[in-house]
Amino acid sequence: MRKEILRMDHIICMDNHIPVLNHLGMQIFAGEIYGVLCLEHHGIEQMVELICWNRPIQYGQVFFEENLVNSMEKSTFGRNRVALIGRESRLIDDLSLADNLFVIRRGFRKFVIPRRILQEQTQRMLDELNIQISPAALIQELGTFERLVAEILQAMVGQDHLIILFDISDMLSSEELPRFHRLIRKLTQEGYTFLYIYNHHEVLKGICDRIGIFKAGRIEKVIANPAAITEAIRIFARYPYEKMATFEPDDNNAFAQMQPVLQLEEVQAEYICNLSFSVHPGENVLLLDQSNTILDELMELLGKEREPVSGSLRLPDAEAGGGRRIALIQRNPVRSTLFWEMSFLDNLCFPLADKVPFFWQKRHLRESVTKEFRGELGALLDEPELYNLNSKELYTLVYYRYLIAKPSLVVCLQPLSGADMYLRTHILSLMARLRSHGIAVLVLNTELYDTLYIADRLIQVEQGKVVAEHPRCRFDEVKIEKKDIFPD
Amino acid sequence: MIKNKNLVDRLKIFGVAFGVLFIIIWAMALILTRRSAGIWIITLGGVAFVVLMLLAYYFLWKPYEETTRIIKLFGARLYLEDIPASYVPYNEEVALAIERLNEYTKTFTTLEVSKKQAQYLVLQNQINPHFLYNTLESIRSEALIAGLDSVAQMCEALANFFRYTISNIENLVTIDQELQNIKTYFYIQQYRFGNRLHLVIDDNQEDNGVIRQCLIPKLTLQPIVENAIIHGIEQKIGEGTVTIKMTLTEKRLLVNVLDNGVGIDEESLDKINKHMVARTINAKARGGLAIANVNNRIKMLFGEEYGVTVFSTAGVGTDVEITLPRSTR
Repeated sequence: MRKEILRMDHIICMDNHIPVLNHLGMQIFAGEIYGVLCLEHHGIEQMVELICWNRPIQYGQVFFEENLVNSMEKSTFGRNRVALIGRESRLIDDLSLADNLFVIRRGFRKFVIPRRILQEQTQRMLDELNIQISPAALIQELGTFERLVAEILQAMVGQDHLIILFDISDMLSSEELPRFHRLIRKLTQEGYTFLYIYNHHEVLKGICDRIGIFKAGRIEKVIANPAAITEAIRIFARYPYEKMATFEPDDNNAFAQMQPVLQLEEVQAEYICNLSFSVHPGENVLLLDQSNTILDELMELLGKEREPVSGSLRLPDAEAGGGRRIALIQRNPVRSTLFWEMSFLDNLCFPLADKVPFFWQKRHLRESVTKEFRGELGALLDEPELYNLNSKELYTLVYYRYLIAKPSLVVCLQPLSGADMYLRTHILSLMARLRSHGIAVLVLNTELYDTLYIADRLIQVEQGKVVAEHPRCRFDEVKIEKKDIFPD
Repeated sequence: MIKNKNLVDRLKIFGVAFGVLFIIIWAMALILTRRSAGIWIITLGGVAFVVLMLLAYYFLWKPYEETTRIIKLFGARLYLEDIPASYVPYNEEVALAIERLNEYTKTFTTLEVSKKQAQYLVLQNQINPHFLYNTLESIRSEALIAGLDSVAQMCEALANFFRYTISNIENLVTIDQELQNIKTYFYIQQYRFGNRLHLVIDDNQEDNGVIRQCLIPKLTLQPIVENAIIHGIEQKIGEGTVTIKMTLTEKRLLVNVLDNGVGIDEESLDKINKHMVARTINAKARGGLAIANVNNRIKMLFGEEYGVTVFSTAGVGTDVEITLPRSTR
């Protein structure tokens, strides 16, 4: 007999009269890891919110531990015993691990905090899970892996019966991810239940007991045998996979003969240790940080927010008087780099304004941009603000800005982070477009999924040091040698 | 007290209360112009006003909103199973009208169900079961004499199928009986499909014995399996498998019928879901409407908590999940 933790039946949910969940059905049993593969992101956040909170629904029923908690007739607005672990941490940075686990949880009523006892209890939990973290360590001192473990411990202490892991896989390095998976697998044997939401099947395949394919606001199909997902995904996501196959670059290494646009020589910083590599014009280089330690620091170095302790970081093209620059695209750029009240055209021309003096006074420049890109961008150019645009259009804006500004190098930090299957294809096509215009692209990532399709060269970095470099022609050989790193 | 009053009566009570409050405030204003100590009376009056406003919110506005919501739900569905306790009628006339309407729709639904039941009985009576079984037995005997074992076996299977389908009008049977019928049905279909068709019943579980004794409405699985064959596997090139999996929880029995046929496209799946939501009873069940009818039967017998959910992707296959209460004889 199995114990049912969550059941959602024919859920119809609207958001501003737009259907976001369309006959969503899902069932999770105790002690299982249920994966949700987001082919489309639309509706996934509302689904997560509905699992955590019993907000009103237009139709359907939600059962938590076989008790009706939400229906079209009655919504309690109450909270279910569910923990949500995502990109935003629920821990308090200035408190210790023990305090976060016990003091700030619901129901803690003591006035005098028995610090020693709490730390002993925390240490006991950590020992059972074989995790090496000090209970007195402040959260801000912990790395990403330790933080996620702390949040799981917090859920265990709070007696949350379902733990949702929402889009966390790309926060972990390729070494940390298997460790994290082993931990949650161990916890399922103790009866804890996980809902693992991510947008790539390679991650879910290795850990989930069942995988639900989320598309168009519902679970379209449940794959009972996760190993079969690799074949099935080519049918579910036929269009993205067919499109990605068209991105494969030519094996033309002409750019290798050109002067590099970026050259790092023996660069040393806090986490970077003698890092050396170069990027040539029109080349797409994928830097895989296997230990997930240097990406943010490298972005700061490239953005001149800090200087390396030693070594040199050169832009030979700029030094030669080319005057072209580096563009940095952060994680989730639509949230951080766009001006929502400005028009599409103004956002599009923003990087150009850095390059061209008195750009905003020269109206004819914007008109010529409109004329040049009218064929590709169409009515988007007339949008007075960005609120009505969908994710695909927003990402088009982000990348087209650099097509216009034509920097010598575009650095993309985890460009596919948080993007569903269809959006990933679109982002890859935009990056391929940059490359075809002779703009070098440096992709900084902790995983290889999909970004390998458009890469000309792969640089493997471990603990801040380059451990291997592979040109495209060697990708197939390396895939066989290092199967644990390379996806199918 | 006020809880038993409808909205119009409550309005009258509050109207009187506000009237009294107004008189008090007017009197206080008079006093205030003559004595400065009237400030305490004004304060008390203010507090009384706030209390009245709060009472008006809880006893007037909230019930009005709740009642409006229930009427809206009523308009969206065929009937309300139980009028919620929070329902407060606008007035006596509206309460009576809603009660009558609810009875009427329940009667209509019951009539439809009994009409179908009656059609079923008429069918049974028109096909004299004994005549049918005797004829099939005769065919079987002739086939055995002629050495046609396969024909004899098919006759026996058909007789068993009809015996289950048209005899015995009880609503609930055990899972074991229903699965036996599915096996019989599959056996017959395999004469048509040959090796293209496979049936897998996943019963390698600890509580398989308990599962097999659980009750299920008769002829719940057969229309679903028929759909899987006709609309799924028949349309497919190559072999197809129908898998039946059963899971038991503390309160429920879950039966999954999975096929690796051609699947259902999004538009058709939306239509199936709409029929299930609208709870339309369709005597001429075809294709996806059979799923909706099975869903309706389950909901009518066991309640809204139970029913059918369909997961399908074109080109991959279809999963039909049937949720039933866990009950044994």
